[in-house]
Amino acid sequence: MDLGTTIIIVMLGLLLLGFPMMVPLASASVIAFAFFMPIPHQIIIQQMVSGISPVALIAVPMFIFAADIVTKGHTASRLIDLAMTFVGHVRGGLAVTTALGCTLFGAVSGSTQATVVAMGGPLRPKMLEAGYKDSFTMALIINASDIAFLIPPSIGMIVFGVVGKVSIGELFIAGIGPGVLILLLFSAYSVWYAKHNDIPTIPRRTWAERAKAVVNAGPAIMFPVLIVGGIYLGWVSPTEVAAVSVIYAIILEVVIFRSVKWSELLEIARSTGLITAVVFILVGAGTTFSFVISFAQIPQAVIGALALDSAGPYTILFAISIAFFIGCMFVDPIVVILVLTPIFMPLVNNAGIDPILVGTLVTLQVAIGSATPPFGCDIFTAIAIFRRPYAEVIKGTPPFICMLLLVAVLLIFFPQIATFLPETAFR
Amino acid sequence: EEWKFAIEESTGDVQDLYAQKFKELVEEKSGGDVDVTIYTYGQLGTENDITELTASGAIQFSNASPGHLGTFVPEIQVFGVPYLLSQNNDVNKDILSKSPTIYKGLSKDFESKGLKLYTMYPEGEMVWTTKKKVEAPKDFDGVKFRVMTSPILIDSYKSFGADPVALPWGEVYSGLQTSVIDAQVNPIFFIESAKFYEVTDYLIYAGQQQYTTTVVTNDAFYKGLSDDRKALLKDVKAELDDYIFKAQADLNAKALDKIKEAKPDIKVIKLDADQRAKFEEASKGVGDKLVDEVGGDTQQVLTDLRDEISKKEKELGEM
Amino acid sequence: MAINTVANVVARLCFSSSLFFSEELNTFLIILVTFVGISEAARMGRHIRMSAFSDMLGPVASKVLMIIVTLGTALLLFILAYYSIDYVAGLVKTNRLTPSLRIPMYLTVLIVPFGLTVTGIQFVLAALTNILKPGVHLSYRVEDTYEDNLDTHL
Ligand code: NA
Ligand code: NA
Repeated sequence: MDLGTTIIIVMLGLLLLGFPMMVPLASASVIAFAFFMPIPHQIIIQQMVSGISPVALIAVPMFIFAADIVTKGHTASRLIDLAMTFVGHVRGGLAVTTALGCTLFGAVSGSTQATVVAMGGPLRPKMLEAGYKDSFTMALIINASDIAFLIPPSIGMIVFGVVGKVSIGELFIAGIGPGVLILLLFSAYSVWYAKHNDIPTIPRRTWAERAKAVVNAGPAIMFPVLIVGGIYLGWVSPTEVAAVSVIYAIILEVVIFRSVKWSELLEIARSTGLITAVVFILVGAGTTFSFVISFAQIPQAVIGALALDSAGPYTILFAISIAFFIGCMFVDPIVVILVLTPIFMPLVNNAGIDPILVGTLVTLQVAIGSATPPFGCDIFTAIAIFRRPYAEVIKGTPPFICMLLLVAVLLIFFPQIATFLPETAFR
Repeated sequence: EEWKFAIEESTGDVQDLYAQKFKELVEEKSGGDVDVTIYTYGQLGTENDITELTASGAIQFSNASPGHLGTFVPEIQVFGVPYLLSQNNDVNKDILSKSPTIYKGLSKDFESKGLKLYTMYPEGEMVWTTKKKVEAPKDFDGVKFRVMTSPILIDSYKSFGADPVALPWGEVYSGLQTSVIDAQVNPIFFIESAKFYEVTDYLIYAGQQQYTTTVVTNDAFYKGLSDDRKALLKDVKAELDDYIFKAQADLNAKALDKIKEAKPDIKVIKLDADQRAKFEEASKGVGDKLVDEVGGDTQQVLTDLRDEISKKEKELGEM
Repeated sequence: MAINTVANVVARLCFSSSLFFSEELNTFLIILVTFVGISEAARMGRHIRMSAFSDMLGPVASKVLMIIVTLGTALLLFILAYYSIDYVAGLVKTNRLTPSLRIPMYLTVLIVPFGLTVTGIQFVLAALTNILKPGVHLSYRVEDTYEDNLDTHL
């Protein structure tokens, strides 16, 4: 049996038997090194360590920490109460707020995992209180966080731009169209869902009441201002904003509101460390797995077998969509972009496809893949944060994944969704 | 027989041009007995990972640039010393491809890490992209300059008068866009492919440094090769020395044209000898500081290289 | 980690310079947190797994399966721990230093074999608990259930 077939069988078997997720991922590598690749086995560890070392990843634990602090304290609920005074009377208002919140936070943090944590942590309890089902709530949070990849700044687009030799500025602008489209679709679905399940609303507030809520939110309102403003005004980089939000969360909750004790901070830090470890060990194992796949040149073999080099533009675009989507179901999106982009770009250039369209499509697909079972990293993050069984976390995702795939298909047939903005701006 | 060659750059960049030509020549000269497989950036991990992979024998060849190679062979960091190399690139070509200081003097240091130095070549001049005009060290006052996390680069840019900033490369573009940083430095072909010119206004050639890279091979692998194969590798290297020197110059020239076409109002500044002298003067202490910090044979390597370079400059001219 | 990065931002904004070791320090902290954290996660039964199949089984079968899963996981972790000792030994041998802090590189990954081994032991303990005690156990202190509350903390 060849390497590819063997590891797929082993991985699926171990997965279904209920082994911890790191076991199928790491076993595939151990087997590949032991029986198929005559190279030193310590490289498994090298790749695992190097997979969790990128500087950009440190934003994730810091956002987890900040989100935990503001959820335990008052900031998160004050901000949500504030939002509710504006949208609480609309059916599905809270769900739409959640979708919008995830989009905005994701836009600046650039990390889908950090968004799941930072927005999902405080918003999920409120949605459950309001009567939304947990499966819907978790699926909405996970998938709305995906939009993070499409709205600038987006690390996925930067990596694609450099590897694929495409203008990053144009990519950034091209992502906005599909990003907004997804947000609209999710919002429409949320409103439909709320109507269908008869989620109660609260009475409409007067503007006086809303003004009062703004005052009540007090320094908490500075939190999103600091994060969004900090990035766009150039005070801090996206990684650094995570650190700034930790410090601001501590100042707010421990010093100003006094809602979290110093001793509790230690407990929160411990919980953050645990969640980080559970997610990062999978990022590390996934990196090793991807090393095996690219070392053995499996993607090249698959593309060769499919005779894609003579295919037309639509076939290539669908092949790209499927490849990136599947890739991200298993390993970190950035790694997938690095491995697959150089393999596909010659095909794209030969077929004369607009690379900006490809970049947008790839970014969309890696976002979808990250939220798709079995190994999508946003799903791991959600399980680690929300502490719900795997099956329940993924139960509500199909409608969202269908909407995202619909956008991908629309993008292939109507590239103007992406290319309209950059064409007006640049060409 | 399969030789695996991992590079630190993407398809179409200088290291890829080298690796592709290497593949072509090796496969042709070995009569098809050797297949060369090329892995581009990120496919087998980070720059550090691929050097480790070569050292452990998992792959046979990889590119390693001084910044990363410095953790294996610290002396190689001398190539980060500003104004060490000549303004005459023919001199640099000769030094990088033949220097006994590099190929003989440092070979023990490479061997002790499981590596053998195969070749060294320039990828083009390191060009500053900035938001304001910089023609003298005083113009760098308050400029947040992104450099790679390497102590020698940090020292250099401090000595030039800038404020060096560490930022992962994935954040450089948006960092320039939002002014978290004001400037960065890279060869022009990389500035083109990473689109840094989109978010800066000046391209400044200050002549302080060529971006150099090495190709290393696994030491045990090399020693185990037949004499035929060793001779083949030697021939290929000689041919590639000429090829890559021209190829990188063409690629960089083309990249500059592309930048000018994509952004006609970009200002390209070439510092003259007087202006360069000011920066050279300012950075005089950087080499000594490196010697202090790294120790080992660094002093010797630096002195020998300076001798070799000035001898070659007398032969070929300074410019 | 946050303090380190914020120190970096403050240093850059106020003192116009950067703490260059912050990058290396952060990477080191991430490795530390991950490999200490996985053993803690094993102790708390928090590793992510897909339980759909075992949830369908009867009590005896799922107990047997849990014993296989915990022992298998422990085996894998011990194999990885063994590999990681080789990895650390390789770094010791080549005596490489980190670029900014100039400390030996092997120190930054010393925690890896330790964390993997301790995590392996946690899974052995979980297997023993399943063998010796009634019920199905994810770890020696946690039974296989998800608590039904809204608390998102530990
Ligand atoms: Na973003
Ligand atoms: Na993933």
